[in-house]
Amino acid sequence: MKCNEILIVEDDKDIRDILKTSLELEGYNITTAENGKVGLELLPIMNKPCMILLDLMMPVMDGWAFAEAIGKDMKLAAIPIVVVTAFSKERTSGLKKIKSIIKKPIDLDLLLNQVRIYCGRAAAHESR
Amino acid sequence: MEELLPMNPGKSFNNITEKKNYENTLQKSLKRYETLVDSIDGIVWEADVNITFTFVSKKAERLLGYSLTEWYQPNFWEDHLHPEDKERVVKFCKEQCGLLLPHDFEYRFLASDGRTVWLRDIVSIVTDNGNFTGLRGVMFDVSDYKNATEELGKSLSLLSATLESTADGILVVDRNGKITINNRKFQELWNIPDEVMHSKDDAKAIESILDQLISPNQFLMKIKELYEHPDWESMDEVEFKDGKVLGRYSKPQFINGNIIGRVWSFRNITVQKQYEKNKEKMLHNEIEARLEAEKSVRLRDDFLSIASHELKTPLTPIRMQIGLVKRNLKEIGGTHPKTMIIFKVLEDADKQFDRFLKLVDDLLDVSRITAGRLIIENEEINLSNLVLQKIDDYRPEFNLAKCDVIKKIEPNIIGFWDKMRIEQVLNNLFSNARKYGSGKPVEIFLSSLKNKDNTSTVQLIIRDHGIGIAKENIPKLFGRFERMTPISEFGGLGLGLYITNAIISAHGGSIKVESTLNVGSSFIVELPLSQ
Repeated sequence: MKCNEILIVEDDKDIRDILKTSLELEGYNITTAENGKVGLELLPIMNKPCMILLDLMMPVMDGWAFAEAIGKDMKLAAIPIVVVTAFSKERTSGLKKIKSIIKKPIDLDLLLNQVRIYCGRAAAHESR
Repeated sequence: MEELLPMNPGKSFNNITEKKNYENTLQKSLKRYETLVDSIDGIVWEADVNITFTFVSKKAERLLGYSLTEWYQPNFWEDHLHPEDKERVVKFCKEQCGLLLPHDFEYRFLASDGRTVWLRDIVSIVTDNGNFTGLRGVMFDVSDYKNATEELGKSLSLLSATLESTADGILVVDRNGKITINNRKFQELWNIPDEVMHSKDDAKAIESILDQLISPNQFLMKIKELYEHPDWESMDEVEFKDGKVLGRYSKPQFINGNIIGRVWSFRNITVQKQYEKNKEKMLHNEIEARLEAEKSVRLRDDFLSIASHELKTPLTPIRMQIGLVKRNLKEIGGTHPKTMIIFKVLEDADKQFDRFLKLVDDLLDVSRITAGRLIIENEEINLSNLVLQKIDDYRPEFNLAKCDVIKKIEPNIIGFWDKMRIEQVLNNLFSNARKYGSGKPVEIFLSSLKNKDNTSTVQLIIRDHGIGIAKENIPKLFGRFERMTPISEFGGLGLGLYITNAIISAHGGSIKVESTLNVGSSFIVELPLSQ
């Protein structure tokens, strides 16, 4: 089953926008949240995403708390989480249930490779 | 018991038999008298008014070694008195005789063999109608007693000297609460008035000092407790209102296994206590300082982390924006001539971006190293493959610098290292080789060496044939911000080798350089290989 849905949880508007634009240009359906709390609120009402791109340092609810909350929810725990962060290894080593970590500044090709692993090649791209 | 008959030369007898009987009895009586006198353990004597002996008992010969004839010589007594006692003794004796007073005195007398013998002489005066007619007396050898007294005196003097010379205050109290002895230090420590001390009354002494103490009741209770348990020993501290602290130690005093009193000793431990208090305070301050330091380290760590995050956050959209344009330009630009030019510009922007990113990373690394927070996270890696991979990654750079790469890599060297950090080391060393050895081949060797103690070391050598390093610059090479070449010709912050060295050290390894100016440099990295 193909899935085009991706949730981006990122507080920096510029990063959120470029992530959204880049991935939409590749044909994915993007929902964005500016922090973990908004992300948790959106998850039940949006189409179930094939992956979550998650920033760590955010106001209101940070990425660590968000990942922990997701992990506790049986319906959501299976959604792969890819962390995008500028933190070095020592600050991310405590995170569990994380599929992979993409370091900021984000290399677009690297990001798209990761997205394809969990969501497959998007329809828009395939159609070309 | 028969009576001793008085000698009476004028006595008249009625017949011969009576006379004979009387004489017999007299003989017997004399014999008994002599035996009695001689059996006394002393010299029984009589002397005339000039103190010349007229009679001495036989003991005299044995006691002092002189014959009886010698004893009866005029002035015998005076001539054999100990020179140090002579004047005193003769004067005293004559005075007493003049006053017709019996006397009892002690003096030293010289025996015939040169010994000094202590004599006690008990003298009575013989008078006739109130006139002084002679002397009579008994002399005893009191040398043993005298020597014992002298020894006792010595012991007492030793005790007293010891008591007075000790820095502790000493007090001995008998079981009736009477002060047996104390030293001056005791009186000083407790500020006890002389009159109280002279009373020898322990209760009075205690009463006189109570108002100096912080807890007089506690002090009294301890004394009461100890006097109720004479066999107890104790050790505690007494605190004065003025800050003085005395260490109090108490022990029972024994004679022949019986407790006869209690010895108290007091030591002024004020300075010691203050020192301990200061030490405690210092320790406390030290802990505070350490906590403070730990806090500031935490703050700095947090700052580094946040700085890293904040510096890289704005870079993220730029990089992605460049990436997005590049990616989509190819799709929509098609074969337009300007497409390739724009694409080349974007490629250059990406390179500048990498350079900038490297500078930010280097500065953050320096901050981490300086803070001692360079954290190494080891994982199992195939170093051979990593080096080969990095050489491939770096090949465009080497090609650009016209450096042929000659490599000799021992396959499958596997160990535990921090992959990201080792990559950083390779990047730095490759970058230097390219920068300072352009146009010449670069040799890269990787091998493992067996050590004598059965451990293994991995050796990585990166050799260029470029400008080399002057001998005097080699020791400075791994320092922070050191640069050996002018900034106009060779860019960079001069942090690469400093960081490289720190990473290798953090892995327990070492880096050294062999270099000749204008011939080239070899960087030799050695890492412990733990499998």
